[in-house]
Amino acid sequence: MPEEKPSGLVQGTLYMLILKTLDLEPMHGYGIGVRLAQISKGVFQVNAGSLFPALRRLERDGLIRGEWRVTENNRRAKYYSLTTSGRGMLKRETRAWEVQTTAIGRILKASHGEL
Amino acid sequence: MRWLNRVIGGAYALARKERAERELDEELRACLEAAIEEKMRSGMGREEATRAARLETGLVSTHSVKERVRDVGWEAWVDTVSRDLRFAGRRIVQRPGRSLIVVLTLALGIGATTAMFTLVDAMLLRPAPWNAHGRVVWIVGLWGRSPMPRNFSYPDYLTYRDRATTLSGVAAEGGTAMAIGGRQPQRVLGALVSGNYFDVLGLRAQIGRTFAKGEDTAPDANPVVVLSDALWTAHFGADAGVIGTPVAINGKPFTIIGVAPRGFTGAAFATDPFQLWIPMAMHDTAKQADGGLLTDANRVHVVGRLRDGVTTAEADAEARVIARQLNSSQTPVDQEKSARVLPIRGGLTPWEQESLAPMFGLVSIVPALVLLVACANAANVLIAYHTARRREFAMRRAIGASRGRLVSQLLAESLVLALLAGLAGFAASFALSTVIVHFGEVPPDFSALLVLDGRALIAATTVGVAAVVLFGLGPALTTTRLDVLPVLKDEGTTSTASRGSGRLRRIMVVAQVALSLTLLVATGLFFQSLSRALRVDPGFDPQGLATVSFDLNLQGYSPDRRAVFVERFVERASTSPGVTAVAAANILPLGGEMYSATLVSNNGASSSRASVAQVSPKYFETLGLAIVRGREFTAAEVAANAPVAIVNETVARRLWPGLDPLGQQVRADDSKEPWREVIGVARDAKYLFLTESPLGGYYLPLPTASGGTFVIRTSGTPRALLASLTDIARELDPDLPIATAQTMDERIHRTVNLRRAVVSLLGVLGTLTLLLASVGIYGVAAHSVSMRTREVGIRISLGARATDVLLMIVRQNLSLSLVGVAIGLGISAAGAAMLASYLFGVTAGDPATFAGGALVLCLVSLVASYLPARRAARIDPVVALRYE
Repeated sequence: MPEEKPSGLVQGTLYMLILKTLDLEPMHGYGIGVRLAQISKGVFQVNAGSLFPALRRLERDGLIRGEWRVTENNRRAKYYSLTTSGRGMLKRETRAWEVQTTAIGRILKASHGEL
Repeated sequence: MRWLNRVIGGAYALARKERAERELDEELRACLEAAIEEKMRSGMGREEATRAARLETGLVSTHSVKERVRDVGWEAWVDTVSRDLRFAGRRIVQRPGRSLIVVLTLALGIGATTAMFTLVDAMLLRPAPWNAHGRVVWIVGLWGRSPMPRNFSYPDYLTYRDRATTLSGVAAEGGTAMAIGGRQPQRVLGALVSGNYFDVLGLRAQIGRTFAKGEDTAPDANPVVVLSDALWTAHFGADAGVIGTPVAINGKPFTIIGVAPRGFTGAAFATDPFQLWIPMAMHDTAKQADGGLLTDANRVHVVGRLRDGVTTAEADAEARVIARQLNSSQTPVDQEKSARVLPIRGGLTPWEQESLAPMFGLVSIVPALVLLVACANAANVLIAYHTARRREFAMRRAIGASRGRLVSQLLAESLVLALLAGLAGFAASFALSTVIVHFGEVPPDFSALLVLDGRALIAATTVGVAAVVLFGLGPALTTTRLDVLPVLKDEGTTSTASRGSGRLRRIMVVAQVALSLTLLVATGLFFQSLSRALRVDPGFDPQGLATVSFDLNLQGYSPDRRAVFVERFVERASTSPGVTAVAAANILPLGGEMYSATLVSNNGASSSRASVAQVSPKYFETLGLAIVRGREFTAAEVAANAPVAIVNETVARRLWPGLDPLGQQVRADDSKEPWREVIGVARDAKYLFLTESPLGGYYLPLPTASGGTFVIRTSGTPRALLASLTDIARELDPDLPIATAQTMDERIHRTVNLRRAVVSLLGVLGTLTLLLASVGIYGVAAHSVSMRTREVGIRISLGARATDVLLMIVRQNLSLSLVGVAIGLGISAAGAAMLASYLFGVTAGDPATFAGGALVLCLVSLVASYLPARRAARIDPVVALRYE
C-alpha cells in the first residue's frame, strides 16, 4: 500500500515531532494535530491518515502510552503521554537531529573559498 | 526490546481484536467530534462544520484511516492471510469437481515423489534412532588414490582403537553367516563385534545385558550371544526366559545374555540386518567356511564415538594421520592406506552409498517427471478457472484491489489445494509403494524400509508447497495481468481465447505430452527387456524343478558326515512321490553366484571365463540339460573322483575348434588339478543371469565331501515338493538350517527382480502420467471450445457443417499434441541412450517402441479432443450467439 507522506515532512520526523508535543503535556490525537499546526505556524498540517498510524507505531514500540480520559468538553478521548523510553528516544533523536541540521546547514552555506 | 513490544502488542491486539477495533473507532470519532466542535465554535453550522472538519483532519473516509492504522502491526498480515485462506476454502468447496481434479492430480505427483523420497531417505539420509545426535561416525579406509571407501582389516582397526584421541571409543563389527539351532534351525546373518561395540553405539540391552569388559579378550573363553529383537521374536517367541539359556551357534553351545533394542540391526541396516552378535574373541569357535575376520583381509566395519566437543572434521584429520603411520616406506603408491571419518547416515554403508547413489539419481527422475506433469495439469485446470473469473478480477481491480492482493488470494487458493494434495499424496505414496512392492516382487526386507514417517509427511508437504510455486504462480500472474476496461466492456466471452493464458496452457499441454511420451517409451523399452530376458532359453528345462541347499560347513560337518548326509538325502528324495530324478552339486545355475575359472587344454589353447560346477550323477538328466556328445558322469566316476570332465559347447568350440572334443585333456588354469579327459559336451546354459552372453561351462565330478545343494525333478508341482524336501532334511538332522528352498522358476524370476521392479515402477507411473496428460488435453480442448462458442456459432450460421467444426477443433488440438510428441521423441531418444546399458534384447532406439508410444499418445489426444469437439459441432447457433 503506498505510504502517503505528510506535506513536506521528512519520513520519521513526524515521530520526533509527536514525541516532542507529548513531552510538553499529554494530549489526544486531535490535539496533537492542532498543536503541531499551531507551533509550526501552519507549516505542518498533519493528516489523520498519517497521524493515527504514527501514534499506533509509537505506542507499539512502547515510546508512548495511551489512556482514556475525559476532555475539558466532557468527552472521552484517548490521551497519549511519553514513557520513560519515549523520553530517552526524544533526547537521542533531538541530539541527532541537531547534529544533522548543523551539518546540512554548513554544507548548504558552503562557498568556494572554504574548499 | 522494541521487537518484543511489537510482538506482544500485535498478539494482544489479535487476542482482543474487537475491543481494539472499538477503541480505534471511538478514538477517530472523538477526533472528528473535537474538530467539528472547534469549527462550530468559530460560527459554522453543524453540517458545514462536519464537512470542513472531515477535510481538514483527512477523516473523509474513516475506513481507509483505520486500514492504515491496522497495517502498522504485523497482526494485520495475519488477518489478511486468514481472510484469504477462508476465501480460498470457500471457493474450493464451491467447486468440488475442479478441486478434486487438482488435488488428485497433485496427490499422484506428490505421492510418487514421496515414495521415492522415503526410499532414498532410508538408504542415504535418515539417521538411525540410536544416533540422533550424530556422535557415532564411520571410520572407513581408502586405498591408493581410489575415492571408494572400504572396510578395515582387524589389525588396522586395533591401531585406530589404540591411537585415536578424538574418539572416546572405537568398535568393530564383522558380518558372517551363522547357523542357529533350536526348534527351527535357521541360517542367519550374525556379527562378530568388539567388546565395546554396544557401549560405543550407546545401546543398552532391552532385556539382559550386552557384553561385559573382558568378554572379548581371551580367545574362545566367553561363548555369549546378544540377539536382535527380530530374532528373539521370531525364533524364541519373545520369551524373556531365554536369557541365560544355551543356544547352538554353528553347532557350538553359546549362552544368551541379552536382546538388543528393538529395531537395531547393526550400524548399517538397509541391506544386511544382523540378527545376533558374539564377541570377536569367539571367532575360532564360530569359525566360518571362508577363513577369518581377524586376518589382514579388509573385512570389518569400524565405528567410533566422537569425544564431547570434537567435530567430525577433527576426527577425520586425526584418522588421516593415523592412516599415514600404517604405511611404510616400501608401500606401493596404489596400496597406500588412508582413512576418512564420515557421519553415519541412512541404512547403507558408505561404500554401498557410493555405488548406489547414481542409480538412485537415475530412478528419482521418474517421479520428478510425474510431479512435473501433475503440476502442469493442475496449472491447466486452474488457468481455465481463473480465466473464467477475469471479469471478477477486472471488477475488483476497478474498485481498488491491487494486483498483488489478487495474486496473493489466488496463491492462497493454490496453497490450500497443495496442502490437501500433500496429505492425499502422503496416503498415495503408501498405496504407490505397496503397488510397486507387489508388482515388483521387491525383497521383503527391502520393502520394510519404506516406512512412511513424519519425515515423509514433511517431504510430501514441502513438495506440495513447492508445487504451489510451480503450478499456482504462473496462472495467478497471467490471469491477473489484464486491462480493466476492455475486460469489463467486453461481452464476457471473447471470440478468441485470451492470449497470455492460452499460450501458457498450450505450452503445458505440449510439455505433458512430451513427458508422458518419454515415460511411455522408457516403460516400453524396459518392459521389452524384461519379457525378452524371461523368454531367454536357460539351456535346461526349468519347469518341474525344485532346489534346496544346506550350509553344511556352518554346522561343522566332518567330510564323512557330509558325504553321508548328501547320499541319504538323494536317496530319500528319490523315493518321494512324483520325483523322477535327483542330483547334488556344489552350486546350481541362476542362484546369484557362480564359481569361475579359465580353462586350458593340453594343446595350449585357453578359454575365456567359464562357470565351474561339481556335479553328481544324473545332474544333466535332472536339469534337463542336454548332453550333445558323449555321456554324463557315472556313479563310479563320481565316487572315485575320476579325472574326467564335461564341457559345454562354447568351451569345446573355443579349445578344440574343428576337432572332436571327446577324449581331449583339459584343466583349470593355474591349478594343482590333474588333467581331465573330456567325456561329454553339454549344451550351453545360463549360469549367473538370463541376460548374460554365452559363457563357458566346465563340470567336474562332485567330491564326496562337498555339496549340500540339490536339484529335484518332479512330475507334480515343485512348489508342493519343497515342504516334503525340508522335512527329509529335518529328519536327517533336526539342527540343520535350510539355506534356500525354492523352485527353479522362482530362482529365475529372482534374477530379474531389479528389472521387474523398474518395469513396474515405470509402468505404474507411466500409466498415471498418460492418464494425467489425457485429462490435460481434454481440459484444453474443452476450454477452447467454451471460449470459442460464439465463433463456432457464427461459423455454423454462415454454413459450416458439423464435421467441419469437429475437424477444426480436433485438428487444432492434435497439432498441439504432435508438437509434444515430436519433442517427447527427442527427449526419449536422449534418455534411452543414457539407459542403453540397462536394456536387454532391444536397442535404445527401438523404432517399434518409439512409434508405438507416439501412436498411443496421438490416439489418446484424438479421443480427448474428440469429446469437446463433438460438443462444439452440436452448438446451436442461436443459443451460441446469445451465449455469455
